[in-house]
Amino acid sequence: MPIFHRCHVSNQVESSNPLAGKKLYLAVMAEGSSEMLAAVFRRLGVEAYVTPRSDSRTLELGSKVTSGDECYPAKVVLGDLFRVIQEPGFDPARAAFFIPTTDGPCRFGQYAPSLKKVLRQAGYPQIEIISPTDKNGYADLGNIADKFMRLAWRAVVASDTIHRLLLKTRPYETTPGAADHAFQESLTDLCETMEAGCDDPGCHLRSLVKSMTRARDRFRAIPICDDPDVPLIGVVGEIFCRLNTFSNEDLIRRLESYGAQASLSHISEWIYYTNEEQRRRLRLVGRTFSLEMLGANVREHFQEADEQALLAPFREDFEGHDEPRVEEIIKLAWPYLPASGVLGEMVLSIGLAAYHALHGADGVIDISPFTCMNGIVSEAIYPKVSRDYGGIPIRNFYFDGTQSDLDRDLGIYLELARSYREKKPFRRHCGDRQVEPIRMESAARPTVSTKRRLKRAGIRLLGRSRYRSVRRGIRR
Amino acid sequence: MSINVGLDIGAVSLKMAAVGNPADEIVLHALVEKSGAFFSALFPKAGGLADRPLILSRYQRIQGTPVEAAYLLLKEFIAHVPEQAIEGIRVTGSGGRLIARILGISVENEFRAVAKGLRTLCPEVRTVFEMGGESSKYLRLEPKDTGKRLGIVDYQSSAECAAGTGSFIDQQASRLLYSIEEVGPAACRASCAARIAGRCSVFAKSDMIHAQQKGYKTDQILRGLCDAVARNFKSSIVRGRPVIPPVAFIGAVALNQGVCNALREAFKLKEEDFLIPELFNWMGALGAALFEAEERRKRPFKSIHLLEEEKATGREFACGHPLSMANVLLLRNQVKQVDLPSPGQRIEAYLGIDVGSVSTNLVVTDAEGNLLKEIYLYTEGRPIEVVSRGLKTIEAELGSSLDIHGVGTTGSGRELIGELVGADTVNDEITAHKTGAMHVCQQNRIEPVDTIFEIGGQDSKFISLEKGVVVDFAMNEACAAGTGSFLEEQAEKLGISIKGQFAQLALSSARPAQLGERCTVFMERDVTALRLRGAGLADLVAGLAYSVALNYLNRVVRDRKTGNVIFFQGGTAYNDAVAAAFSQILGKRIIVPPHNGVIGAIGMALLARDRMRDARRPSRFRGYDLSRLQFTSRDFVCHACSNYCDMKEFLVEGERSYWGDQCSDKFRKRSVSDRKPVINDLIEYRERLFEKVLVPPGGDRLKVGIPRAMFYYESFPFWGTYFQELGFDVVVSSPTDRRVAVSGEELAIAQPCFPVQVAHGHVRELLDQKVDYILLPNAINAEAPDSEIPSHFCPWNQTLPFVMRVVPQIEQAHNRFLIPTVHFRSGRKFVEKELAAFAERLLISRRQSDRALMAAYAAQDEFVGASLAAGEKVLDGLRQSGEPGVILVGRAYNLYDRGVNCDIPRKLRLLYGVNVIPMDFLSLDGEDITEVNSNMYWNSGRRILAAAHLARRFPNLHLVYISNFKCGPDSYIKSFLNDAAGKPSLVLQFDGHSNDAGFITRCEAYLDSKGFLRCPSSTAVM
Repeated sequence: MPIFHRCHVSNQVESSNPLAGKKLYLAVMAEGSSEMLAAVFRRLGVEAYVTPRSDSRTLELGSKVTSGDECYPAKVVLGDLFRVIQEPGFDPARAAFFIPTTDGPCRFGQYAPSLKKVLRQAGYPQIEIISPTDKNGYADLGNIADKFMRLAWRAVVASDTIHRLLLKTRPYETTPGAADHAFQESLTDLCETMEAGCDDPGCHLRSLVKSMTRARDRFRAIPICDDPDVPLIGVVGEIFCRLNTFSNEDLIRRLESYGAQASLSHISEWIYYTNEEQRRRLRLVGRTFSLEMLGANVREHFQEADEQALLAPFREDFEGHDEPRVEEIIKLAWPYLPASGVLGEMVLSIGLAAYHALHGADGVIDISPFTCMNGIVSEAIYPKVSRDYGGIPIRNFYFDGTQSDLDRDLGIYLELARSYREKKPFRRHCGDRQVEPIRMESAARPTVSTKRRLKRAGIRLLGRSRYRSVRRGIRR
Repeated sequence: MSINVGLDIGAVSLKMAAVGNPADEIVLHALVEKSGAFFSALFPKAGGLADRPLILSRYQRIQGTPVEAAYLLLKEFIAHVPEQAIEGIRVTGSGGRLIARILGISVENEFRAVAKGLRTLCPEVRTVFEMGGESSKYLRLEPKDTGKRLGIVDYQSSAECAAGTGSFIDQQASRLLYSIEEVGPAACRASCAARIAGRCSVFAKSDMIHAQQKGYKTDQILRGLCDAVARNFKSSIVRGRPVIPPVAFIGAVALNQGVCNALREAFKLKEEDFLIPELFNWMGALGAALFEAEERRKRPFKSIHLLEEEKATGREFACGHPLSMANVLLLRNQVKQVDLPSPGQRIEAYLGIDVGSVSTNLVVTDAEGNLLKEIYLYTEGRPIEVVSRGLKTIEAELGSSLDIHGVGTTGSGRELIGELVGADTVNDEITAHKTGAMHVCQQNRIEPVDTIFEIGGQDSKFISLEKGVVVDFAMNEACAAGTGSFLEEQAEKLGISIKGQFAQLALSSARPAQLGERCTVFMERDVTALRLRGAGLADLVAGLAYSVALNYLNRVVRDRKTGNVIFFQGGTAYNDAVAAAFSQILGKRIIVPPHNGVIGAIGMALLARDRMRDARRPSRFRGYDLSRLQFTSRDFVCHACSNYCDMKEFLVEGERSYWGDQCSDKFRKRSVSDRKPVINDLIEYRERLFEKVLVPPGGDRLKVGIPRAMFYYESFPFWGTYFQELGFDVVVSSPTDRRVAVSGEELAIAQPCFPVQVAHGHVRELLDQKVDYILLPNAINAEAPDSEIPSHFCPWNQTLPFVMRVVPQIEQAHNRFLIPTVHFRSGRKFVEKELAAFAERLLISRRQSDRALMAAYAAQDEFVGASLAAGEKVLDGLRQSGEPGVILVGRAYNLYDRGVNCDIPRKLRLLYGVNVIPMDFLSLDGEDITEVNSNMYWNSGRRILAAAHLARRFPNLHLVYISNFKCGPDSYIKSFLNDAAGKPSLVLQFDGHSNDAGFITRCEAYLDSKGFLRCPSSTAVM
């Protein structure tokens, strides 16, 4: 498991901090980012570890503490954490588990309360659960909250970026394993830099950029055989299942083995979405010029600046592979799932499916846990997106840890993607393109005869000048 | 010499196709002459293959040994065709990968192979339905005239939980003593079809059993089964995808005329548009052979004898600890024989009958409860015959010396048999098992049992006892049903006998395979997969024993406490390997009581004895000979509502009794409890409050349709009033019935929860009624007492309008949808702005909207106020009288939609006299649930846990949680329920396919354990 052989701990955690003197365990979500987050914690003086690679015991332990109706990721996360408990020498009094949370409406936010309950029932009420949330100003992190938030963002951007590079390179490598090797090396390098780099934030960023440049050079050194016929498949869906290779049975690698390239949505996109969501909520309650809004804007400003710095070395590498801005995704999703009335990942999945289609992808795959509410909503919308965007094949793949013939399904799916490729209306890498999607409003404008009937019913009509789109939202 | 071979290795059968050049005709002809395993077929005239010889293998089952079967078939082939004449071999099908690896050859994707075969033989086909042994497929083809592309434009294969159509029919047929070949003709003969759910084979299985026990003839059940399979195919595989004729139906099931007819009817296809190709079973094999023939870069295949070596060598797979009996106490070895009464002597005896799905048990006990006779019979779908056979055996052996003083029946057929036999008491299985187990303890002078694991054929139960009182229990939720029969089917599949041989083999395994621990359908696939990967028989069998135990512990027992005196009973307890698995997993001693298969029946004999002690009347027992009894049965359809249930009337000695499906309202049996509710019918009261909102339609006003679904049940007063005040007429769709539900299921894309599917049906109905607008609010959250935690509706509630308007059949009407976005949580001023903006789109002024909104809030407040007032009164009443009551918790659309919940809330009141209080009548805002869950951000969740928390303070109030399968939030909320309530609750999950029998059993057991049915001592059919 551990990429880290040593545990460098500096002393930034105050004694009053809930994390003081604790060993913090993080369940692995995405390839790379969990390791990077652990490195962030270590940099801040917390002894942090990622859980060992998930395996069948994860599921065995996970199913002991779930009924089977909960989300599959919950089972994997709980199983991984319970595996830590069963390790020899585990000290519950010193342990803390890191588990992110939300305040709904999807089930993800229930993981933490549910973990708390099963730990209590299993006789470990003393294990600290760290679920930082903006509700209480990240109180779970104590005095390191601010630093953590900024460093964590850098960690996410860096690990996302090298993973993007991995997915872009691996399908074309001539030496099998070369890209994976470059990824692992770069990850170790980044983690070490994250953990040990200079104390000054600016200087730290510069050393991370240098590490990113080294990563870039490792990938650039990989001999590749470019093949324009390789279909490009956009991969969207539930964040954990989509990014966790254990949960999705390494779908992307299998996809590549069938001769396709995947474009995967990473974590940073979700963070931008939650920022946007927060701003929207503040606007909604009329706090456009509030301290919170200022905070959100400042945070995003710093985030964008850091992201730009970290991405600067890769300008040529991602030429024509620009990641969409979250505003654009939301806009593309609007005709189907307007963000004014829909909260959660389905907005991103739908918007990205449209984005991928528009930018010439040959197919879209949605990875979600079995019975995922967001996944099923998206599944219901996809046929319409596909109809509107030239018939691009969009498929849901659900996972719950049971064996299924994934290879067979991917094989036939790519058959659809290749059929679509021959007739697709959108070419790849074509700069910005805008389509005006079909508008669906909260109520259609009445026809003349309807207006007449409205009048007869004594309903006063408004003049055209007062007619405003609901989309512009409610203003004070 | 250039013969290309395609092998299609499925989960059940093996098919082979060999395509040669014209020159190979002689060799292949000789093969067909000499070997009975092959026959020749012809390519069609057109298509350029007409002159090439085509050889196919006859239908052959692989019996779980794909490598061996493939080896034997290839050996047979090579015995007559020289190996060097074979140019290439290509495999396809679910079992293909292993063979391909061994032989070093390529695997062809099953869909592509099938498409290729059809393109060659039936190029006109546009849609393909395939039903094979364990999977089903849908394929749509739009081939271009030229080009190599197969033109697959859409596909679907059976979802995880609907797998196994072919073997499923197989299993069911053999359960009914029919061979698979007889199913088609029998189904075609049947005059009508028994209604059987088809969504998942486990549900279908139990439905069939209920149908059997309701007295349906086997033909009718088989036809119902075929209909179910077709319906299942339509709803879970085709799922609204286009079915463009001509349609080809292929795969082994295409042989079954019953399914063919059912499919054609289900898709309303004309006879000429639905074809079954001559080579319906060989499309995959043929496609693989053709692909191989076209391949330019061939992979040389290795000697087929490698297959023989492979089957000899074991391979690695995950394994667990060997099973051991060290910690299992088998009381059956210590039982002493009771002296039977001597001839001429007549003793007081009691008869207990347990009519289960798989087995039917009859016992006779003396007045002390000593077992005089036990009979364990397989029900085999013929409960009446089986019981009558059992009774005859008893009469022949003991009849002259017994005086039957009382009879009790239990099990899923308890009502039917109870009526026929003349039972003095009819009880649910849990009460029966508990009574029997307690008795065993007394007799064997062991510590009183505190935990009972009961695994029968279809039902699993967990009973927790404290000093002989049921303090907790659980029954399998439908998806884990049938654990006992699962083992039996698996054993049969693996070719071993479940009696003796199974346990012996399992206990001999040094490396039990680790199988899944999920629902039986998945386990079945896991076994097949491991088998395909080459796991040994003993290891698999041992793995199955572990699986059943784990599945039971994780899905039935879950986080409940297991005690220290654990009884393992039920038919499955005959299997020592399962007992060993339990003892090993739990690290505790497992006791298997004597007569473990008939404990329930013993319990019934004892309950009958106790009942007759107080009854002061002779037993209603009608005698041993059921055939002497005059009973007739008659089928009819109940037209009381638009459900059109299939009903059955039994006339037993002039007395009528009825069995029907979901509601049986019109023919409801007498109340089975003498208890009378002391409070008003609150559910009816609530319905009346809703009705009061609606004003009669007036003239030529525009109509706003409100679907009677989802948000309706919570906020109809609000929305109804709002639109009426704006000057619209409000039309509410009719109550949910079968028609609405079916239409909703057909419309819904993806597979959301049942209430969302039902909502689709309601919207469709409103569209058909030609209303001008349909209201589907985009409601984000609910008003909630002040707190930091949000009060969201679930994502499916929030997105309902957006999901609805992209349904193809509804899409063209999307501009008739009214979709106001409202955040009730943000306060009334805020909602005022939101609705004003919405009204503007309808060209309605802000002033009018504000006025209407004021009225709407007033109406909703009045409604809530009236509910709370009624609830307070009721609660006071119960507090003073000390009468017990049940709080119903759950989402409004689960609690109040009778079409969703099988009307169970009302049945609780009518049948058992329960004081039912739905949670919406309780004032919940004061309850603090942060201790239970500090982040309960769903409005429903907060209220449900608050209601449970309130029940904590009332010892006489119990909890029934009405939920539905697939409810995302409920999957978490229910896990916090007991923490909130501090007492066990009953969780009922509905999915619209269930009929009410299973739910009634759960309710009875719960009510009995809570003391509702204690006075008089048991439930009687009097």
